[in-house]
Amino acid sequence: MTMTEWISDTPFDPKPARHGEPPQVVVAGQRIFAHRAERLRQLASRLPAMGEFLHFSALLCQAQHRTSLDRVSTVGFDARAWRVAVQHGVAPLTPAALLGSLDWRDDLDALLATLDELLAREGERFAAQRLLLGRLIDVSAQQRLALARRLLDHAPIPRDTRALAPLVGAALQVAWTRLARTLEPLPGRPLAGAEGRCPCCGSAPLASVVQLGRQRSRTRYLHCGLCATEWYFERARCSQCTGTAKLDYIGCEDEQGKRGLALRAECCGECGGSLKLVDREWEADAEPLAEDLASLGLDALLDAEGYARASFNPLLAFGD
Amino acid sequence: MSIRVTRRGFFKLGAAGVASSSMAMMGFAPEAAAASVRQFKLTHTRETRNICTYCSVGCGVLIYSRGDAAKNAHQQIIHIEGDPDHPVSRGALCPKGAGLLDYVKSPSRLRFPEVREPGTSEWKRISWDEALTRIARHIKTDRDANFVTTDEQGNTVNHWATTGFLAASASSNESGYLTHKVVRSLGMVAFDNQARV
Repeated sequence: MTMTEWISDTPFDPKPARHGEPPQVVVAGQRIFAHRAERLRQLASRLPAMGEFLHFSALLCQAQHRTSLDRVSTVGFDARAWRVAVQHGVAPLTPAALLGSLDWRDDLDALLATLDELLAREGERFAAQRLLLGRLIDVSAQQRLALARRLLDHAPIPRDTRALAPLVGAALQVAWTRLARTLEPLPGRPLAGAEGRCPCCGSAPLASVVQLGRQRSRTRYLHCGLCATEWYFERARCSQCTGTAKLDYIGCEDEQGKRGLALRAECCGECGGSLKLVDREWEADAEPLAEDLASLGLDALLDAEGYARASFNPLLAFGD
Repeated sequence: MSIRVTRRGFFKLGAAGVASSSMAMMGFAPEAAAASVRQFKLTHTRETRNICTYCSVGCGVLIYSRGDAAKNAHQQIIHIEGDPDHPVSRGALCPKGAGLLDYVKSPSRLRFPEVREPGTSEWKRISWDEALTRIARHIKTDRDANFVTTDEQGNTVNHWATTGFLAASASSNESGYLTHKVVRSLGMVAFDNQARV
């Protein structure tokens, strides 16, 4: 046991700017996908109605975990270019720049093979979903790229490929999370005007999370939908428009007043967006992506309250 | 609002949106999403930033209140915690600060002016007007009786040493300036801010 408490398992532990301050940017740990799979299984048993979907999502995350460990990216990047980008406050790993050159397609192939193996073990339970993997293998490289572009653009996905989008999204997450974990030096908190964008890859957040632990206790971080990087963002502030005046935190509880989910939705009356806020003090195992998938029903209720879903979760795709 | 939001990436996700989502397209029953939250009711909470009033350190606090503001329901404070974003305290609170919710909810909390007359043991409720009038009367009477214009050597001093003034903790620079102007212009010399923990 060393004296310092490491909060990241990359060689480049984020150092707070000054003593007592929380770290500004924390990249994902190596077990991020395994943690998601574990949490999804817990949630599947807690929310039986969503059980099938959450269990499938758990297997998808498990396949992501294996792929992220088994495959080593063979694409080399010039770290100096990244350093220049970081120095100028630009996100170095933007998908717009790297989608053509990064080997996410190989991750996708590996992921599909692993997932097929995991689904096969479940017998007939996920037979319909196994067919999707076959369908995606038959999709041309060009169509895959187009699908990835739309997904990363946070755009509506056409009906014919919507069912395949989460599989592509899963592969993109593996490729970008791996890349973000090699960044050195780590970028700082995004500049004013871009606070709601990931400092590593420029993507939108999936959700935000109030953290635990000595260095991050009760501090809120936005959690990147693509590379799972977490960056500091003040509490009680809208991640979409930075407004503070008309925020409503909408949560769920049962008849006895017991909390239903380990999150509330941060809903902004100024821009009309909502993003889920996971509180790890309520449940230490809570994980943004898993909680977001499990609380899809809440999004429909928020729509009735007049708030739109702003979250960027590549494991979900929507139409117009 | 400093950023213009494009609303690109905002999805209006009603029941129809869930029914046409990738979840449904992948072969999972979309009704499951609604069913999973059916037994819950929605709660509305607000988070408001403030400063602890109990000493001059001025630690930041986040105050949680409950009640749907849109429906004009009365907001009830349900929780107070240290503000982790505050540069002074970084979310830490001392025992006084950690007990703020109990001060707010305290049954013995002072809600209006009260007076205990000399020789009685009862606190009696009085109006703000009466309270201010009585305080002003005491101040005026004492100042008229004890204001000193010159000392024994005949030097002009214009001071009033029989009444003191203790100003608030966690005051801003501006309220400190105003306090100073008011108190010193009366000639009062015994004067302190609670500029200490």
